[in-house]
Amino acid sequence: MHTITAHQPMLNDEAATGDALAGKTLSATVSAAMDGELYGSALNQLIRACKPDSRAEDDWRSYHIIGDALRQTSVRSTELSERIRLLVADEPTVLAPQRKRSISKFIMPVAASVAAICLVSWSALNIPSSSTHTAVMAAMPLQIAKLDPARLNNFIAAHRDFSPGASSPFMDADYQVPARPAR
Amino acid sequence: MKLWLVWAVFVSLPAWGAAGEPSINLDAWLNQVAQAAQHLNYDGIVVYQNSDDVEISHIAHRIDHAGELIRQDALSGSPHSFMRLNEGVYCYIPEGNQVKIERHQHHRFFPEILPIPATPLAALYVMKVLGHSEVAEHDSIGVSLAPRDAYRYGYLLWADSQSNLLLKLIKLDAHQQPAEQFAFTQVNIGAAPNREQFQSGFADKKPIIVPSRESPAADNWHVGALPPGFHKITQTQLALPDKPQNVVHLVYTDGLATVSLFIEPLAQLGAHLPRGLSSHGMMSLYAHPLGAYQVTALGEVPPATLIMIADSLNLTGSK
Repeated sequence: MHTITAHQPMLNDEAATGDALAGKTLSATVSAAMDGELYGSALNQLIRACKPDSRAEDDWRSYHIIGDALRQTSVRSTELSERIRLLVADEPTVLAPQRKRSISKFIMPVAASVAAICLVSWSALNIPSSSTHTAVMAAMPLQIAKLDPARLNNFIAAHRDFSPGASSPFMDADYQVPARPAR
Repeated sequence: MKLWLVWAVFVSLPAWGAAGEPSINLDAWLNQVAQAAQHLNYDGIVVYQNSDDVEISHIAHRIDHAGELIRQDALSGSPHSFMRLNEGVYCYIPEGNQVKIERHQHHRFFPEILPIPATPLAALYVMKVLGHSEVAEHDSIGVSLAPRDAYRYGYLLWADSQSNLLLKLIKLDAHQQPAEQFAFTQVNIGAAPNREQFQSGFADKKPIIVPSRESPAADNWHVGALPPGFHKITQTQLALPDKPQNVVHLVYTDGLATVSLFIEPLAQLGAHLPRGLSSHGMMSLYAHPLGAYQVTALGEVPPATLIMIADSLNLTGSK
């Protein structure tokens, strides 16, 4: 069986024969198409194959979501992505006015940095605006680095049974269960 | 130019749709949304995002004569699946040609996020209709829940206008900015997923039963002061690897926001005891010693909530 993986560019039109688009490899072919690795008749054949197959369409969508995930697209962008796409599509490409471009060039990195600082930094404690102020102020900042990561991860995993969310919001560690075969 | 438009759109988003919306009974609506997630059949892809994490999973929910079946498969990150049949929850973690199976006492899944009944939330959050928008190709009604006090954060919900299934949940931080989001990107509502879908799917791997880490805990820890609406939902003890004594785990919730308290003897901790307060995104963490114990509180709540709960904790006679 001829299989195509996402990382195996199809350079030859002839390589995309019928069995390349058979059920098992359809997902892989969709993936290859997304990466721009399908050409000519192979691509046409895939598009024809996709028309009646809603699973292939779902794959296409899922892979894009996964792609976005890998590129760390932020929370806000899913909310906006469609509108942004439409706005950008409507906007003619302006090549001449230097000044506007330089302003946006300056503003966006600053905005991005501010956003990054807001989102990523260990936040200056989120202080609510009431009498609780003093209690929060009185508590000293905790050095996360001082916490035992395994212990903290276990706590978070236990918390996640009651409050779904990120497996490990405080660090990049995998969700793990100790291997202690009972039998 | 286009960048400014993008910002303008973002800023004006909350205002959209607020006008001209026919008034609906929000209390009743919220109850229906809470129940729909438990009573409907559905099957879809859920994307969870926060500022530095994205997790994709497949959720299938089936109601039949056997009861409620839920399966959640992680499609990103380390592979694992949760399976729930009524109250029994199992986590499957494939590793090579083995699959570890761990029993959990409880596990909450999106979109089963709202408490049933959801009515008590109205006393804690101000609800407002945001209008209609499209989520996962379903026309949805959006509603915001703004906290009435400083002990919790706000939420934005979108539920399918036909079936009331919750399709999207955004958790807001202290600055009313999106901090976390759960959303279906694709979902089939109404048709029951096949029963075969709920077989473990790891039939080719050797199952290894991992003993449950949870066991019942004595009721001897009490919290003197709880923020409005919060109540205890569980107390268990956790056996943690390389810890001689179990850690007591208490869980408090107001229905939406959840706080976990972990209590363990100081004796089994190292010399450098962490103490103090930290927060990351919505998650706050507070650690402090209490007598011969170390208390660690964490949850998606403002730090003040953790401090109030953890500082009023006390050990009442042994029983």
